[in-house]
Amino acid sequence: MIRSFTGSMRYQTEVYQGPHRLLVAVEVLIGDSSAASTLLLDTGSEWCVLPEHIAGEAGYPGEINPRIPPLHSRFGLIYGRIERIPFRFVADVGAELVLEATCFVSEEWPGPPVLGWKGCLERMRFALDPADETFYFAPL
Amino acid sequence: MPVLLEAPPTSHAPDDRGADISAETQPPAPVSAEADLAHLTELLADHDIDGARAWSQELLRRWPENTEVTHLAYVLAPPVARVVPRKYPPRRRDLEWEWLKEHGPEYAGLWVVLYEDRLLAADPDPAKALAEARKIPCPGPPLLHLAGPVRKK
Amino acid sequence: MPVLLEAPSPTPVADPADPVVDPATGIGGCVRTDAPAPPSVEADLAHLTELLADHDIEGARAWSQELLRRWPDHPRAQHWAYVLAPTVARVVPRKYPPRRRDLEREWLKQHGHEYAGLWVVLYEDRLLAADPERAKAVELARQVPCDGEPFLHHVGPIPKG
Repeated sequence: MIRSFTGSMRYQTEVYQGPHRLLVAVEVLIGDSSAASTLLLDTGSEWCVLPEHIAGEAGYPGEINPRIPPLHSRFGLIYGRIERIPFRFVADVGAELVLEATCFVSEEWPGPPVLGWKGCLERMRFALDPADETFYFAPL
Repeated sequence: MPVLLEAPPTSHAPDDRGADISAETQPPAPVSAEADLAHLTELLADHDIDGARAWSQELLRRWPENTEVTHLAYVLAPPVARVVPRKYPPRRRDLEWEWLKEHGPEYAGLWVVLYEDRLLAADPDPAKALAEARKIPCPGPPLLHLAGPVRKK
Repeated sequence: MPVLLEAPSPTPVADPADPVVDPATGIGGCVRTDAPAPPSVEADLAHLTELLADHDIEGARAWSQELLRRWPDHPRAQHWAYVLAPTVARVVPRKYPPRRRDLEREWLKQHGHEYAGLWVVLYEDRLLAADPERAKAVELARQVPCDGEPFLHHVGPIPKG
């Protein structure tokens, strides 16, 4: 069984983002941000989730949208909005990949930024190889 | 695959429904953009994202001038991943992570901006840390990270 | 990378030059020089619980090997060392013919709502058994011959979409 990928990068395991322990973390360049951010890779998260300051820095400032239902999270109900923000996966090896991810953005989000399923991981081919902690990716 | 839309009770449905809407279900009649948007909220609250995506496209057909509709149809549309020309030289961030392992605890609670094994800026406010770091030229994007406690491993 | 083991009591238990590394799993490392000796297997097991509560899985793995060295005949020490040891994925001979579960998924999409709250056992597009009790559903399904491994699923509330 062979699958091909266009790029790869090293992922990190069990790193702390402030008080939060990220089991698997990848670095993503978000929107117009001048620096890459560390995101928790979470296939169980419905959306990508970004704290307001990261979305703002990426060029997507905004306010709570009452049309968007709150996010049910381990931190309780979180109110926010949905944005579509380019994510750039800067490859260590191979080509870079860009995807406009649908993100839940909230000022109230106290957790780490999350790379979630809907509007992001569901639309790219990816694989993890724990042998060398490599995150492989490609377009679908 | 057609996406089934769960429609709120309405008197009738239009005949010219969008192609991505199953003929088996009746989407709400276009009474008002407000009612249609409320239905979109219901679908999202139900975690029916595919339903919300299909409905947002139907909304766009019904209310193409409504800015709220155009925004929501845009943000909900499934993305397409693309390979793009390389903007930055290929580089692993091993040095940054090594630095964080060694020095992270000294900066716990601060946002640090790192490039290789250099600390460009540190501040409780991430925007301030980034503004400070931007003054220092780097060949590629640095890493913004909220420093945390010691990694036990 | 050596893993520092934190032991709960005051007497040194090991020479730092004598690393406790399990040859089979490769886990373990040097024991801290001021590492105190455990008064009892209970204290040692309690320390293991602390490591797990701290999400220090690597530390817990190393400590469970140390526990096994200290209390080789203790069933709980043996159990913890066994369940915490890093697993090894192996390729094994195929037991069933290769098959995707598309038919079962399709069946669930079409008929799942009729069985909300029940355990269903499916093989391809056939319902072998359905029961509120998992064990009963499995037992009923065993009586129906099929060519491969059936699919057990609990039908939850039906999503609206």
